[in-house]
Amino acid sequence: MKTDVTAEAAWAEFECDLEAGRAHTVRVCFPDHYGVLRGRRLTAGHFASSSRTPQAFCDGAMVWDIRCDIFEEADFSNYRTGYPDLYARPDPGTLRPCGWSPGEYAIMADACDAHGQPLAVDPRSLLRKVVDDSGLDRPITVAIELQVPDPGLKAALAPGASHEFVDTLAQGLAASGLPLGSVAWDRDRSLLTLTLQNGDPLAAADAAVLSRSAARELSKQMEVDLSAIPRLETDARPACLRISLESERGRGFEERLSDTGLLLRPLPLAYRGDEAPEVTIGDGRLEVGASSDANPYLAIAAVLMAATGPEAGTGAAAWTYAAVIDRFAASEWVAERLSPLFVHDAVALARRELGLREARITQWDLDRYRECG
Amino acid sequence: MSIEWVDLSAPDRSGRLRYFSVPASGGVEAAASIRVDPAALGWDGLDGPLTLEPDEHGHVSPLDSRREVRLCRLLGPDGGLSPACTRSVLDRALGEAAGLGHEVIAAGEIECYLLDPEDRSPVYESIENYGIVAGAPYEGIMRQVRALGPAGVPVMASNPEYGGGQFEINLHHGPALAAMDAVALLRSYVGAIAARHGLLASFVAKPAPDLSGSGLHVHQSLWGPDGNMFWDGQGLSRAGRGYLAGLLNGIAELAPLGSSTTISYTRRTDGSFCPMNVSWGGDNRTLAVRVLDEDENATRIEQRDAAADANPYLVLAGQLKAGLDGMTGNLEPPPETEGNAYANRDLPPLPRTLPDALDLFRGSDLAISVLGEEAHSAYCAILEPEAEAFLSGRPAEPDRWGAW
Repeated sequence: MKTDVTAEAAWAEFECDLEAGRAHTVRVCFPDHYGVLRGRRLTAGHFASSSRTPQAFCDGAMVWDIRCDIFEEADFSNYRTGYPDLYARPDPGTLRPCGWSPGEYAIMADACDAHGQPLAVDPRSLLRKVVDDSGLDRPITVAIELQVPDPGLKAALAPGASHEFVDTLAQGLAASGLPLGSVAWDRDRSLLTLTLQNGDPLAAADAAVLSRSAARELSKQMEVDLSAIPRLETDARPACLRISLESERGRGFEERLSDTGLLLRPLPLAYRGDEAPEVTIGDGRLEVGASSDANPYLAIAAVLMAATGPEAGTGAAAWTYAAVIDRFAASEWVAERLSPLFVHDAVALARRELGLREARITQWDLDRYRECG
Repeated sequence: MSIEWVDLSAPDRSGRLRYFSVPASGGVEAAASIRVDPAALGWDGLDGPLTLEPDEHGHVSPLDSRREVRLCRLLGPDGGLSPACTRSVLDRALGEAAGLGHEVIAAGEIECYLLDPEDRSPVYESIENYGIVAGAPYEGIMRQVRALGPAGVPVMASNPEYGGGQFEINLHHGPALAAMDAVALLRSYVGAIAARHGLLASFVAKPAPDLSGSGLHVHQSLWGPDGNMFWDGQGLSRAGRGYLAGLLNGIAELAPLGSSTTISYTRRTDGSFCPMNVSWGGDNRTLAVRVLDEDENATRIEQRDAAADANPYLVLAGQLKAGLDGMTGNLEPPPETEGNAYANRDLPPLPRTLPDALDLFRGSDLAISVLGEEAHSAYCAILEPEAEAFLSGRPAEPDRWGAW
């Protein structure tokens, strides 16, 4: 089993596999606003002949909601701009085999405009910018918790026992050169945790989206019930995407973290009452629990910004979804670090999500209020 | 494995390939003995019987290596090309371009749905556009589709599209006839590959009222001794502007070539990314025609109104004839549309129903010049009943779910 595939070796392996007819497909991938992996599957031959050529996609992909619905309140792209192309420019250093899908390779791409400039809303470019601004280009470990409410899987798990899904996933991630440190289960075996060891911030985020995506992909193929949704039950502890790095907390860290909170928890199910995200500090390490449905690029960017932002935050923290949205919208320093356009559209997306959720009548509402009056 | 059968294939009126199998031992000369009723190819009213004239070369079937697929032209009772031969309709338009010294390069970009064959529901419901995970369970099909290159179908890529269970398939550009052959072959092979996986592939323009429509976008450029005729070193050339003007002149009256069913007009709704009016511009998905003037190699014009179940030969023949007329007439396009074309009520509308489209098409000299008088007359007569049924409120369309 391969555990370390450098980019150079990956290209050599790709060319070798292509020559031998073992490589048939290359996925050119980019993360959308929620860190969902989007892209296109190219024939390996076409990719080989055009690997530096950006792939064109509708730029609405950067500002659609979690269900791919587009809406006019986004400034980056809308019907008034005509939803032109974004150009996904492959990042040559990220080519790797998809160990969980033989014959396929994946390459991450930066979302650029027609002139090759990074888009102001591209998560990979935003993280690069934050890393450059913060100077915190330190190794980051990411642990992803995934909900696996599959009774068959639970029953099969025991110390020393193997399970086809877990084994295939672990072997596949390792064969891809992803830095999988461990696969673990929580006490009641409903949360699967993938820990990805020490990568630079961009590599760590790439590894996180690819691993989360691989787990979801394999679960569909193997018919295992798995999701990155933070909660399946009202009282459950929200599943996390834990980000840890060597860093001191610094004055005002919690306030700054709440200023960037929308990047840690972009969707409402991660909020339980007004609980703040878990923050652990010790031995010179800082660990923050973003939600399992967070965009890893933006969540890592949020932690780096909180670790290195201006000395004072903008006041007392409140951790309800509505309060976090308002706080993010009002944080001038966040807009300065990221871009006013990105902040505007992230807020528009979140307010839309909040509005949609509040407008819904749920089964809980019906059960509770049916006999009123 | 040696070839045992030759599948002689010709597109019917709607561009679906029809097959006539002959033993390989008898050679393709056996084609001369096959008699085809034009009505069997959707061409009621044209003279028959038709015979097949196979292309010089074919390809091994990607579905069965014992079979060779050989595309054909259709000959009429007099031994000349039949008006029912839609490949020849495109040949004529290409001949006109060649007479002007131009080679036509084109590419099709087409969408389809994967459906449950029992209840015809999409294989997944949520919109997962460009979704890497969403596409994974159907890779057994799409991987085979992307491997169709040796069969004359140079697929570059595929991805989930903006409808639950909808996929987009990108074809490499190439000489125009081969590019449209690729579209026809692709639809045929995708259907067969999906069926082998227990699914129904549908290229129908709109499989259900609440689903996104499926389109056939055609990218086109003209090349001459000096390179891409549409590129002047900085952007769209004078010749390109004339071609563009011609496309816009013809787009409304030629609509039935790209949208020949009542269902295909249900794609035309605000915000659907199917154009609603005569509009052009740069990189803007609300427009009917996009000018993508990036550099000499990539500069092309994309017309976006045709439905995925259209006859690709007729679609490109119509666009090419209209474009060449504009170019030779030195026409100037109307002002570029900026912003949301759906919200621009000053733009001339495209036909919204088959009867409206047919009214324009019936009296169109351009349409006659594309199809020839006999085929034009037959084409109108064939579409009339469905248009009349639409006007009377009767659902007259055949069940098109499995038509592709």
